[in-house]
Amino acid sequence: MAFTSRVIATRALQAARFGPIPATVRRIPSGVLGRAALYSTSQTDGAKKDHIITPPPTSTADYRKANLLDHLSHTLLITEIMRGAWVVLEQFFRPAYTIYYPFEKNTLSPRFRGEHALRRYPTGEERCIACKLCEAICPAQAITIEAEPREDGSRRTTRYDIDMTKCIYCGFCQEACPVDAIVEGPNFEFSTESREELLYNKEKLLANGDKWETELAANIQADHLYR
Amino acid sequence: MFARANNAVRIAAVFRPRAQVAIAGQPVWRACAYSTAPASAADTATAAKSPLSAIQYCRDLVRKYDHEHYLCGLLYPAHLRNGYWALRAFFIELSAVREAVSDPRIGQMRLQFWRDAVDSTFKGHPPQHPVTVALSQTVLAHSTGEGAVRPLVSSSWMKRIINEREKDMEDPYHATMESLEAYVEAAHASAMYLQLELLGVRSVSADHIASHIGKAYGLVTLLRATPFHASKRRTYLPAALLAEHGVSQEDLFRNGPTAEGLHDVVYDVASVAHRHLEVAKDHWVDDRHRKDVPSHAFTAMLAAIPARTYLDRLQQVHFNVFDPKLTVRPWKLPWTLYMANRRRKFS
Repeated sequence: MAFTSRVIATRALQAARFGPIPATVRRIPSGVLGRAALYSTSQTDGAKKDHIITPPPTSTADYRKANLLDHLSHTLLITEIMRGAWVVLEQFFRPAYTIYYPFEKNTLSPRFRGEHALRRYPTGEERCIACKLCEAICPAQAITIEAEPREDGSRRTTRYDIDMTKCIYCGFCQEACPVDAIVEGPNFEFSTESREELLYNKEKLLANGDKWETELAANIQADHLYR
Repeated sequence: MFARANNAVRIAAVFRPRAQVAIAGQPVWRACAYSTAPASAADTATAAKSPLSAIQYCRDLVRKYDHEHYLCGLLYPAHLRNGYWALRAFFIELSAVREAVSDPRIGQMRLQFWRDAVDSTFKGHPPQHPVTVALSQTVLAHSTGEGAVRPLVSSSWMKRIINEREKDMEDPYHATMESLEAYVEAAHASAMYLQLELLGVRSVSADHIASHIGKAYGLVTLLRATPFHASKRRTYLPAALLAEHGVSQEDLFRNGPTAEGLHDVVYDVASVAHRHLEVAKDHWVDDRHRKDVPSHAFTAMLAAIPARTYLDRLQQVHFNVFDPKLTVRPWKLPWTLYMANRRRKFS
């Protein structure tokens, strides 16, 4: 009953939009149920003429009444099963959707925020100048920095720790860094056996940077001046 | 083909007699090895293999992100070219901040870093950023001969750019053309004043001509960036102009090139830029407006040439800023720049 009223409501809506639908272009229902409905409305009885859709048949007897030959051919040739089997056959010849994860990996956005790394300049000098902007912006307070001047007067970090168990991977440290030193790289496979291993120090971060430098540099590239 | 034209300019720049002047005994390039103290033995090995200096870093930055100014920089006198790379790299670092951050507050933090960096660089303690190191090695390290060091440029223009960029951190809104012009004057023309100072030209009339060119170049930059900004749901086009031609911002963001009336807005902005270029051109040949401006000041104003080239191409595509033809680098630009610099004449 609900089904019928919804269809009629849709019709009413269409009529409001495009004007009354001429009888010749009325939607021809498809499928066994629909066809049964079509046949049942093709009566010339004046009272039933305005009913576009009759309620679906409730017993097989109605189908037989509608079109026995049609019904028997569908049953004998199991056409629905054959159509379903054809879809399966099509999929069989298509490439697989699944990937063999440890060996194959999915594509990552250049903005993917994974494991942290500290980068170096091509000279080998570390980029970080201990401005502590990342430490200040970090909402999880996962970064700890200590710094002192070197013998040559340049200011560098003596300690740069990230607690990876606190980090929420928001990427603010990367955005705040004026020298592009701390970055979140494309690596997402850094699970460890113990919690202590997730407390990264400066050596670990610099080693990450050396390992991933090619990918990091490619991801950081902007392409133009826009201001 | 383009690379060849590029080389032609560089060779031409090298073979100009005036360009061969260099300060005696100053092999500026190699003297500026950036790496001062490598952290470990492994670092020393890497540093030895690639002697990349702070200035080279700046030059590569300009070459990559601001190719038009890279070509202009090749025409600078050889002994000042390194200073030019440092100044332009400074400008690039500042203008790239907004696109690098997701939150205006983070951008303000970065700009505060740059403000402090400029202060400490002028005090003689540059932070170990290649751009500040390059600045201190070039534009700040010119000794006056009596042991004192006098900076070639003033920090006030640098501060002005930083302040303007800071205001620009929030989403841009310019009600009128005047407001937009004030923004590009502070952001882009200040860079031109710095370039003039680098050439040793300090005169009001030179600054006046440069301000017109800076405004024109700034407007061209914003026009060129309109598709990018629209993709980020921002626009610099003045609201008054948009209203006058019946373009809503939403229409621009959603429909881009097919937005009704957008071409008229672009035409109006381009006309203002064009007028600035014409004024600069007239003032340059008019002695009343060009008091005590030496002819070599022209090199600092070369940005007028790419601006004019862009406006001409914009006209060819009927003021459709979204036309993909505009993204192609004009192959004639190196030659046009070289000839303009040689003749000291705008177009």
